[in-house]
Amino acid sequence: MSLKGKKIAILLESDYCEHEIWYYKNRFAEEEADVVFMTRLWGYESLTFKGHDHQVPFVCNQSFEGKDGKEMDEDELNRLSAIIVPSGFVADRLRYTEDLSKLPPATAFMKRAFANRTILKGLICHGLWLLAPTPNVIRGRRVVAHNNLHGDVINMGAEFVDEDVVVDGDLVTARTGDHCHLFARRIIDLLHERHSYSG
Amino acid sequence: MVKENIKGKIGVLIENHFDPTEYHLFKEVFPSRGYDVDLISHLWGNKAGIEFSSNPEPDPITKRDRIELYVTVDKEVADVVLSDYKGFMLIGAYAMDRLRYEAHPVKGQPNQSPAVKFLRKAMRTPGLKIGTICHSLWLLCADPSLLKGRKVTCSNNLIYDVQNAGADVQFGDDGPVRLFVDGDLISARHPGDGITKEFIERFIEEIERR
Repeated sequence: MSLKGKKIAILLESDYCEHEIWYYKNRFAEEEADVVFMTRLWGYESLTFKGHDHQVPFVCNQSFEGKDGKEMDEDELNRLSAIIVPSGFVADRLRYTEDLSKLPPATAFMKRAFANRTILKGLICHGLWLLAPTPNVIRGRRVVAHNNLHGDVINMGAEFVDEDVVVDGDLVTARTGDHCHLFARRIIDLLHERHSYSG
Repeated sequence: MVKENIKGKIGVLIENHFDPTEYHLFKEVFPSRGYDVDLISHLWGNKAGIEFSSNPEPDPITKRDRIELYVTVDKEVADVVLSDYKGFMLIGAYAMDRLRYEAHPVKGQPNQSPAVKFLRKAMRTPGLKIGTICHSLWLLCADPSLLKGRKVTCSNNLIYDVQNAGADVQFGDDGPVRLFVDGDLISARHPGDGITKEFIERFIEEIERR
């Protein structure tokens, strides 16, 4: 059984963790899933990000925004099987916004994804920062994050569970980038389960 | 420098990924105004000290390559005697996220990292000034009792973490204000605003206020 036809979006920015992102790229491809890296392109065709540990360049040319800076089309969003917010400082950088009267575009994208329970949401390590502007989406939910974010998680109203990987329905969280293999394994298992439900 | 002119000591809390521009100005402005600067961190039992590196900055010679600045810290935050210092600066960039590491999360128990325990003590000491800039309020977010109801400013990215911790972020025409003083807590928005020197001057002014 493969994950052929399943699309997994991984959000990206600079200060990503190289070993983690490369692991996802290969591991999900091994399951025959379609892996796409998405960012905010700020009107450019592509952006080159640098890794946190070794400054390795990573070219990203897909956006979680739609054309003309509008939000992603509903059908395109609903075609995603999973969205991953990775570790490092990707989430902190993605929540930057020049217009403080609105949610940062990446956070707005996640908020829409949380409204659709058929999309699996995976957040690891410092990834939960992306939800800080919209804490309602995880209020009362069981999550884990990097131990540095213990206070932030509680301040968002979620329950911090002291385990390396935690599943709460359509939400999967993991403690640090060093747990990326356990996190990916759980996401693959959950996508298989969801696959068999839907036939 | 003639030591008898020294007015006191300022402690700078630091860890990896600190902001180098703030570091340079702390080391320049405080001594020029009569204050010694001590670097303080959690050393995990390493008595000889730990070397920390900054976020990359442009090489001052080539102006192109990005280099890291290295500093060695040998003062353990858990051993700091508060009365030895006039105030403490929390350096910006990502350093303060690292100092709040909670080794054993326990439901209902406030953060037990040495730096957060230190701040609980420091912020209960009237007249002891605490300065934060950019992302450094993260350290206070680890224990919302330190921020609840406090008026502060911070980097745009931090607004929601700080609000979720119960603080009252002060807004101006273009986002959080550049500088704000709420009693013993002095906060600045972002070194990219060119605010750091003014922030340090204001911090000194608050220390010297009678």
